[in-house]
Amino acid sequence: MSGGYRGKHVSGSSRATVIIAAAAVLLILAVVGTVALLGQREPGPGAPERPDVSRQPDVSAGALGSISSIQQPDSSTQADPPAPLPEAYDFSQPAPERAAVDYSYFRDAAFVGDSRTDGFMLYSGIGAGRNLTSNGLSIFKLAEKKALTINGEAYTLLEALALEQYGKVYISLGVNELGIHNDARFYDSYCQAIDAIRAVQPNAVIYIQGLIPLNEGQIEEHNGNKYGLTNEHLRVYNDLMKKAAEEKQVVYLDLYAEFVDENNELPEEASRDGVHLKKDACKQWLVYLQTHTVEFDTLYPDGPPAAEAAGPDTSAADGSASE
Amino acid sequence: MKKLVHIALTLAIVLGLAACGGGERNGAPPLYGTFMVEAMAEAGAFSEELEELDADTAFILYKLADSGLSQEDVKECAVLRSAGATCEEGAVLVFTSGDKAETAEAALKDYVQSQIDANTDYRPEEIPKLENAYIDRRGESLLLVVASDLDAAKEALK
Repeated sequence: MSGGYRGKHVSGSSRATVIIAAAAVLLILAVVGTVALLGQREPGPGAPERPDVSRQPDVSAGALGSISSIQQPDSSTQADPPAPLPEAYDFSQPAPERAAVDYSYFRDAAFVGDSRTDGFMLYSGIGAGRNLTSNGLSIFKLAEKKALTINGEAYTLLEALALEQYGKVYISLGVNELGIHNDARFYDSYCQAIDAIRAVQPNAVIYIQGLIPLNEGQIEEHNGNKYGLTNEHLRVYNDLMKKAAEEKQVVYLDLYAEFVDENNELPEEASRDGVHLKKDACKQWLVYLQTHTVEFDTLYPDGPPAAEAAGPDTSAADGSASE
Repeated sequence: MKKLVHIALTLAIVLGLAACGGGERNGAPPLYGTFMVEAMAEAGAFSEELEELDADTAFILYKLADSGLSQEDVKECAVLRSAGATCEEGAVLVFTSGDKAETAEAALKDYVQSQIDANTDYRPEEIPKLENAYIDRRGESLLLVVASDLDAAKEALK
């Protein structure tokens, strides 16, 4: 009996062990499966957010808070190395060269300038972009001279610029001011112009185009250089424009370097009067613009910069300070 | 038979050339042809070498759209224009009809006036050329000349 019982007992105990073991295995499998499934799913609305490495603020640029205030991902749980931080745009340098954009890039561009830019719009073959130019236009008169006529109505350049929203604003001004030796006023006027343009075009990439050099010999021959245009002063203005671009966080384009020859002048073959560019030179200008573009988000990853109120222009029409 | 074909072909060529701007139009002066722009330049009408402008850019420059014209209204076009050293230019535009050319003639007059306004302070020495600008319409063709030597230009048009 006991043998039978024992046998039965032994037999019943083994079965229980097998059942318990099987249940344990099933439980482990269920737990492992559940964990694996949960790991593959997106976190729900209430789930805590994981830090997004690719959108981390640029600590080196001091964009957001201190290092300690920024959540660092746990590197022990990250299989892949973190994506490299996007480099902040260096406003102290001219725009670097990159792959050329096609002409459609300029469809939402406004070109603000003088007769040189007008020539560019006509002869470069660009076929796109708004021509907001006026002969003899000066940075000192931007806010006051009713330089443009649109549908029979006269506008200042800034008023005309405000009529539409643009994605890019290209500025090329300074040649008509070369005969005026008030560099501090020139710099202030340029900064004010950038502020004023940004106020009406907050979502535009603003490009400051450094002045293309002159050919002084041709100017002398053409009109005796009666306005006293020199490359020496042009280079001073270019330095000031570059400084203004850095201060106001806009893009500087080094067109001077693109055109200057071994004599530090505009090559003779590029112009007939030493100032205005022939068709081929205008095409060269266009290629430069096509290959030196910057995206708005690259410049301002944290959104459009705040527009500073442009101060009152206290300069006289000729650029001299009135106070 | 061969002789007849030869005569017919010769006649067709002669008539074709006449229709291309070189012939009389029932006693009226011939239409302006686009080749005349280059002829004026070669005759020394301009004080500098001018740049060629394409038809699309010329259409914008002369604000023809503002006058209700479309680019399809322009059959042919040749424009030579200063890159900025002067205000000189020569243009011949041939339209699909005389009415269109008449509309464009008014636009060209406005354009010359706008050039005068834009250059009075900037390039005063160019104003006499602009004030003497020659705009003339023949049928559906239109001519504009702003030249340093208008007589040479007119001579080249003969």
